[in-house]
Amino acid sequence: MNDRALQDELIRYLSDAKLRRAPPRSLRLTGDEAEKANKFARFLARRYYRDRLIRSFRYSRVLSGRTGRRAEEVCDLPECEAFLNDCVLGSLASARRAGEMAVAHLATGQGLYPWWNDLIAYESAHFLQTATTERAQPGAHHRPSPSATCIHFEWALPEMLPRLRKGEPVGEESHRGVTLLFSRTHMGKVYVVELDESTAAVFRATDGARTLKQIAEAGGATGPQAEAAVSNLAQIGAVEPPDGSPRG
Amino acid sequence: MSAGRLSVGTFYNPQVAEAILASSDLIGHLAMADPPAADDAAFPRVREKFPLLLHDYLGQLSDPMSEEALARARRLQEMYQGPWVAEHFQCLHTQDGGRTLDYVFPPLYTEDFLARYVANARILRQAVGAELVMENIPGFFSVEHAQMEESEWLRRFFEESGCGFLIDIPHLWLAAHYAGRDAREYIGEFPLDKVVEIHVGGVEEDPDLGGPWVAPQAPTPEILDLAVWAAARAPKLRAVTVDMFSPSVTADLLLGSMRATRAAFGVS
Repeated sequence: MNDRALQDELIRYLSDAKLRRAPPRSLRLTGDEAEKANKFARFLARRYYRDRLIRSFRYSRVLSGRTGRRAEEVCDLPECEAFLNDCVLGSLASARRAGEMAVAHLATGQGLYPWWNDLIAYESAHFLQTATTERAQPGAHHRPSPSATCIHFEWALPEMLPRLRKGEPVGEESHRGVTLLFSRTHMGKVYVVELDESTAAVFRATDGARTLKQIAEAGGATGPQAEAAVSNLAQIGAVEPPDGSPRG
Repeated sequence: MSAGRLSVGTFYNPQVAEAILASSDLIGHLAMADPPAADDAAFPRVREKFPLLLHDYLGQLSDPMSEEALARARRLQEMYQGPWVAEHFQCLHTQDGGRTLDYVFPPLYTEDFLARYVANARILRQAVGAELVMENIPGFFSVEHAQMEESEWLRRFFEESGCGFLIDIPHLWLAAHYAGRDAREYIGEFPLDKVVEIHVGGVEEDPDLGGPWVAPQAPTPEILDLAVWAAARAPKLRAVTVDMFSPSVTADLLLGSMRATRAAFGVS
């Protein structure tokens, strides 16, 4: 194993709690140094999720004066200790678990605002993007990226968020449905885009098993329409192209 | 930033932009850890008033940088127009991109990594068309595979690459602390003759580490003493930067740290 590959082993060791239970022999980490490495891994994990919770749950944070809660506080709750012992930085499963902890923690806002659940669902979906670096398994067909998710909201979040940030009230005029797609590119850029019905249908039909023709049929689109939609979805990281194709 | 004159500055924290703009001559330059946000109304005035130093994440020089990453670095440097750009001795992503620590983490100090960093630093420097300075990163634990001490590895890197040294004093203080070494003696082993910029900053206890670690706090008197000691041995030194970049940074903390640092360096 060359030095660069060894460094990769070290990075995986620090980012994956399961690996730390049975350290690779190649790392030769034993005794005090292994213990210190474990402490450092725990420090990294707490910091990783705290930073992303702050970044993604920023609108509910503005309202913490009334709700009494901020998402990142879960990183210091007793129940987070078990999570830190198990988590894998960047994995979808760990991101989901951390997001669920935050959603439960922020439930205090439910009785205060009619749109609270939508806001938290929005921030939770955004957090899935910022906290997931896991890539889709190789495949012969277009497939959804692991963290990409399409959600229908009862409230028009895109127009509400600037108002929330400025501390302005949100009225009934924003009570209209909107479908949003959350995704991230391999470079880490997060996208939240409003989808029309036809593109949403194509995204839902892109399951890794269907060919482009079958995606078009399942999504109620023509072949060229489906191809254009899938290409656009790949550019924003929502869809992984088949192996051998250029990545978006 | 005038050649031959020491500039004392800090990082641009957009949440205290107005306080930075109103700080008169207290801040000599601003390091940019993130590009300005599209809705940052203060940034055009900040750019007008302060020399800016590119201190973003450009890439890890353990691996060749993509054309996209080099182009991004070039664009940022064109916007900031600083006398140098900075990167870190870090290797935090796996080669396949599947895992990241999302935190500065040093490479193994080996011949192989030395060659990689030298080659990739030359490419980055050429791409941005400016001097490149590299910042040291602390290790919290030791790995047996290292073939040399950090100080030797850095010395050879600077000699072979021609890059400048951005010496982070709190990072070296921590490394000395966890190695059970005297901090001044430890810092003295590093190539101070290559230093172009010094970082000072605070440390605080971290519960996970069970010991001190860097934090967005005011530089301690010990850190400032060490920085002044290193500066006296750094003939190429041009800037001292208070390393403080976090949404939690307040105007009082930032400006108080600037005053303490200027006083320590005798800069009026």
